Amino acid sequence: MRVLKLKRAIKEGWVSFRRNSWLSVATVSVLSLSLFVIGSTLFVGMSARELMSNIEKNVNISVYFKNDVTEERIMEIKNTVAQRSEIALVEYVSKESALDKFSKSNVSNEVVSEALNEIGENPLFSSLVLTAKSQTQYEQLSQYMENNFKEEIDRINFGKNKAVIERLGHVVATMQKIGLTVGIVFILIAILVTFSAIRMSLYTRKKDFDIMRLVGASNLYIKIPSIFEGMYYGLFASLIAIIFIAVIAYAGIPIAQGVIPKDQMIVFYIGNLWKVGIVVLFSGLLIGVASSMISIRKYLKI
Amino acid sequence: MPTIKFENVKKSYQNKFSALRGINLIIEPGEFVSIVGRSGAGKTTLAKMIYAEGFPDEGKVYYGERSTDEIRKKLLPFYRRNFGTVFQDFKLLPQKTVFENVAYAAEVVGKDNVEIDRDVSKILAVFGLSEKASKYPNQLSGGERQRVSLARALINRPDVIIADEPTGNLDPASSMEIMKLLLKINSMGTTVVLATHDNDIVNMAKKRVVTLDNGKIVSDQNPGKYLI
Repeated sequence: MRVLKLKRAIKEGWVSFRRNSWLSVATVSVLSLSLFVIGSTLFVGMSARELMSNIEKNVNISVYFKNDVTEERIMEIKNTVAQRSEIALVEYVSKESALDKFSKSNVSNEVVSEALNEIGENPLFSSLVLTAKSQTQYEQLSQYMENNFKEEIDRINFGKNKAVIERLGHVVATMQKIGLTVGIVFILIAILVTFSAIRMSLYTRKKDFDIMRLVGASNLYIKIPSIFEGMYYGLFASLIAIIFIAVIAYAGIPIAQGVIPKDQMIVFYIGNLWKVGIVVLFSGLLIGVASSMISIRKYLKI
Repeated sequence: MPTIKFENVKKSYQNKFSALRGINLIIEPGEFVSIVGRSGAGKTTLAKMIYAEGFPDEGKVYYGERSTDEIRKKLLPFYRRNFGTVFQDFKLLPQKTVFENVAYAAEVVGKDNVEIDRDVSKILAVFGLSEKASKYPNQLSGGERQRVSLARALINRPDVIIADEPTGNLDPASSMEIMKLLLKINSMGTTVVLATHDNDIVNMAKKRVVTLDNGKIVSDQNPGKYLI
């Protein structure tokens, strides 16, 4: 009996979804717009975080050692530094490999290669390249190096435009805050609009509910198909929203390419789009079902 | 089958004269009772009280041993299954076909699909609606719609059929047809309560007539005629 009623409710909801086609199209459109806003807000947030962590990974400081410091000593220092909690990675770059790298990257520049020949000996220093776990720890790390190995260090260099990266960090953080606020506002508006759309669609059927009650349907019997109908709204709307998000995200790959390589971007998309998809799907079902449940209560008073 | 009994029923609406006053009425099982009177005389109000869509301000309406005000709200839909209802505006579900409209009433009470298919087909055949089974209400004539609504009212074999102005929107020929169907239903043992101001069909029936005027019963004759 229960199974039969449930089956009927599922079918009833579907028939009603199909036959009230205009209302369904309207409601699904509004809901998919809402879900698109929710999904893309989420995805933009995730992308921004990924972007930032990618940039952060490229930050490091190079500690150059004086020429009289032996390789053994540098390795010793490396081991000591590696023990520190803020260190993510320590890399040793010998004089020779530094030169190698330098001449390779300047192979087409005749002036540089001539100058190197002129000098005759390796003008570069051995160094340790330090990567911290967090961007905020570099200051502290460079202080530590200076305090402890002052005699052996020639100079400490913030590898890649620390100032710029810090500023970018601020920009991204601010953007995330603004994005979150705007996102939440949009999401709330979207939910309200969807809610009233579903409510409207049920309102037009108020008379039907009265008739159903008159022929002996219990409130629950009337309510459950509408809840399934809300579920169908959510299902279709989230599918549409997911497709839109995926397409737009794919179109956005070239924009992010400057910072993140394309391959990595695609891996990121594949790894994260489905998460967004799940959130969108569940939000869709939730909004659809909740709106139906709340709206129908109003029309089912005996 | 239980008896319908009105006991000193009074009902008033806001800003209006009392719609019903001092109604005492007994309808025995298997009876055919026409409730007649002008518009506003209280026919619909009286009919609604039987299937607990309306309740008296004073007095009680009994169906069998129990008065309608004792029924818990949650159980009202189940109580209403004792009655088949037919209305002037047909009250068919516009998004359902003829078949589905009739079947819906059977689904509601939890009949299985095989039984529903069989019963609905049978009743549609009896009412000459077999060919219209897959049509929607707005594709039917008024008379056909009322037959569908009558078929729906009967599908669960209720004890009582309550018809509130069933011929109000129909031409005389269709009205007669509906009236004949009601009489036939009654002849098979179902109680029929007919609220109407259509004197032709009332006079044709030659059954009990209760006349309402200004919320009061002014005559109750069996067999009766339309007086006002």
